[in-house]
Amino acid sequence: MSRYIFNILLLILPVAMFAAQADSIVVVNDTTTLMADTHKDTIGTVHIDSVLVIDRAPADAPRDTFKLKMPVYQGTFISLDIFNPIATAWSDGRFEFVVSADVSLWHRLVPVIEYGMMFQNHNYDTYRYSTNGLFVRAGAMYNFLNTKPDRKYDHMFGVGVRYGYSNVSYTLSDVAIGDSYWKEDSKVSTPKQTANMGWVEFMATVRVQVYKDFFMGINAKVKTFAHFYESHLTTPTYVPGFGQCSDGAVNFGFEYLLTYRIPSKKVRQFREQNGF
Amino acid sequence: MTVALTSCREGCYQPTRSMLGVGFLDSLNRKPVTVSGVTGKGLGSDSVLYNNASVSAIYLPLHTTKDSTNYAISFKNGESVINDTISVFHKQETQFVSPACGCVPIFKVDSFKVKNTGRLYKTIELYSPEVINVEQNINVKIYF
Repeated sequence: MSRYIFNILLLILPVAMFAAQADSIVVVNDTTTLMADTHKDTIGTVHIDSVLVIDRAPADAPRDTFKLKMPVYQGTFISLDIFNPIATAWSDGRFEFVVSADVSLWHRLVPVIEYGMMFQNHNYDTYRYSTNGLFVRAGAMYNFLNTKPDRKYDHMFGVGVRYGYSNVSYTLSDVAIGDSYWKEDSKVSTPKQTANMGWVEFMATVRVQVYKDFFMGINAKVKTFAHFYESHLTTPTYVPGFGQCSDGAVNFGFEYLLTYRIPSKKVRQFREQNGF
Repeated sequence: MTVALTSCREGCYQPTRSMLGVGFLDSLNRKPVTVSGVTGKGLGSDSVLYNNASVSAIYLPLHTTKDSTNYAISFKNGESVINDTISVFHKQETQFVSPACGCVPIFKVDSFKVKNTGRLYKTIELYSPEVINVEQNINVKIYF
């Protein structure tokens, strides 16, 4: 019993000492500490000399409440590659284009889907070869640049990986075949053949915000791990979206993208609210 | 006459012929073995492909206008000669290689038949039925 009395006395003593000397008022709530220095005049009226307001977080609040919570969805980006259509316009009868859509999440993770088509025609004296097909690529990129909520620009620099799939049809006709040993000459044509192929792309991206919701970007890619979905004796020489096709082929790709962002209302509100 | 295994065109760095590769292997360790006194020619052609050669593989051109090709192959066994006739049944397709290389015939071997008198080798195996324009591609293995 004496132990409890001693403990209570220990608690009362400093409070009593503080009360005896008190010449300031302290008001505390969850987020603010208000301290006012005071003095009493001769008739006992309390006068406030100064007030100090200290913003503070409650001791038990999680640290995340200090951070600005950025909206997850940061906008959808629609891109058109202008490099390949221009480059292939002067190539050997081949034309290829690709459009893509990607979504920025936290301005860090960027899932993407791409769609493209290719047409190719070779007309020579000894053969005619035509191929056309479509391709779809899907994957994600991780952005390392400008990830803070108070960023001024939405530039991006990231690396990513994509899986590509292509459905391609190809036809050979009027092929002159000769054999010097058997002394044979013939002209053959093959029926239209179709192949389905997949591959993996590793890529790096730079995307620069040019004006408001307009961006320009560069994609550099390494394409490898090509595989056909079914076994064929003949294979297409050029696969849309992948490029030159042969055993163990590793192709390099380059794209110059013009991009428009469909902006997010939440991001706009977030920026307005926080004065960014 | 020996047929060149590959023929290169200007700007083309890939083989533009598809030859049936027949490899000779040791039946015990299954490693390539050099066989001496090998002579081979296509039946219906005047040209000899290999004449008393010491080789571990031979490469044979297939007909591009027929679905079968016959060869006369002989092996020297001491003073005697063993003559075999190999018939290869195949289908042909055409592969576009590149604008520089053009097109090349490629084949799929369905089956083959051997008529032999002395049978110097022990077994013969269709190892890879796809005859494509790859150098030193072995399609048939003969074990001695």
